[in-house]
Amino acid sequence: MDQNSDTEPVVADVVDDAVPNATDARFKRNIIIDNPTIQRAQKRIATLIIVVPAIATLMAFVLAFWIPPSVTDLVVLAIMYVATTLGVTAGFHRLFAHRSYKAVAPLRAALAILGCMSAQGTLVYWVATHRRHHQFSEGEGDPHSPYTNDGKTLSKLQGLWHSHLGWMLDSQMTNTVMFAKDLIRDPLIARINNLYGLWVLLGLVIPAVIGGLAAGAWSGALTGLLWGGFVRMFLAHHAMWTSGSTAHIIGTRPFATKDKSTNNGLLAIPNLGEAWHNNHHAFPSSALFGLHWWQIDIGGLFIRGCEKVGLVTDIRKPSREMIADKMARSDSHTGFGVW
Amino acid sequence: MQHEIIESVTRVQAWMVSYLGNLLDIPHENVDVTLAFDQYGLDSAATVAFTSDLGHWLETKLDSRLMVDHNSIQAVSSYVGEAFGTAVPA
Ligand SMILES: [Zn+2]
Ligand SMILES: [Zn+2]
Repeated sequence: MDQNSDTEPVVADVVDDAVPNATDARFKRNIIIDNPTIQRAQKRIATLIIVVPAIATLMAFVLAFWIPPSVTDLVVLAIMYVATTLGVTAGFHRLFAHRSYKAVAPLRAALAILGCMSAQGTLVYWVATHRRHHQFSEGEGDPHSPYTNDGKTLSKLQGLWHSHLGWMLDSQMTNTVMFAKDLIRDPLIARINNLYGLWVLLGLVIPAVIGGLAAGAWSGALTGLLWGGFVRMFLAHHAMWTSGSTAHIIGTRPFATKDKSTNNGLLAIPNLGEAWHNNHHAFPSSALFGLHWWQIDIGGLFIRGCEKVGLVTDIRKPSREMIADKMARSDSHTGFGVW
Repeated sequence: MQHEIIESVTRVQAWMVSYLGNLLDIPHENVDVTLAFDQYGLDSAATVAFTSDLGHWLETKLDSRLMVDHNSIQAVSSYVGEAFGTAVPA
């Protein structure tokens, strides 16, 4: 990692590059799109993304009294859960948003597609919003802080709701040209990104087809769709969304960062390492979120595995000394955070 | 009057060419003003951002469907140049 990563601009290197003529008055621009029509459209899509998997999950559990999921359905659920969540944490987050390692084109493409299948927004939009989160953590401009929204202080419950998913319904749209220009101008990534709807659909069709073929019956296609498609989506959504909500609320804070990010070893299992979130805010350009051997970081393990077989190079990570140094300079009682 | 409109259209077009050239990191002379925005790989979020930034430059709010209804730099600049006339910044 670069040696000045202590005072690391977090994402400024990417964002600055994205605004070549920031001082040029002709390119004066905002970080958000202030347009009510767009916000309404955005809210409708976000509502669908949140509500549809939730209702379908409920249906899956009720239906299970009559038609339980097959073993195949549950295996497909598990595989797709891990694959799409890797797409988000190893792909959207560590590779595309923070550029914390380099990957060969087929792996970049695969991670981009898998991340899209997770239905957490398009790749470019996800990255733009996430960079905004780092740039303005816990301040005005942070899209999903549990403490503040649009200049207003949030109560604990409001904050939990807003940071977990409420933000998708009421925050203003991120200007992707300002925050993710590097991806918009990448032809392969732009093409995959612009087929977002197709990938989401494929993520539903694949488990339905496998379930149907394995059972040799339409009921198998239905349980396949429900469990491998919607239940998987529901679980992966909420596991990942905790990195905006509880990961800024509950857990330990070994590093003093300008935000209130926390580490949470229990949640790091289902979200494949995302919950080492205080580590991440302390060292945002590190590809590895687990900084000690006991901090289980499946996303980081995946990236290192890919390095072993030559698909990944230039993994950025802080040295032992940098970690020790930052910890020593952190207020020793950054301690345990519960709001 | 006709002359002023042509001037405005030209100014809007120059701004848009410059913006898209910077966004995609291509030389401005290689920006094809007749090419549809999606051919450039812009998704709806990017064209909405483009529209919003154009609106900031013009110091107004533009319809978010502007670049859907007018799907190239040429189409947008003739529409905007005519609609705003001398209000287009130099
Ligand atoms: Zn965070
Ligand atoms: Zn991040």
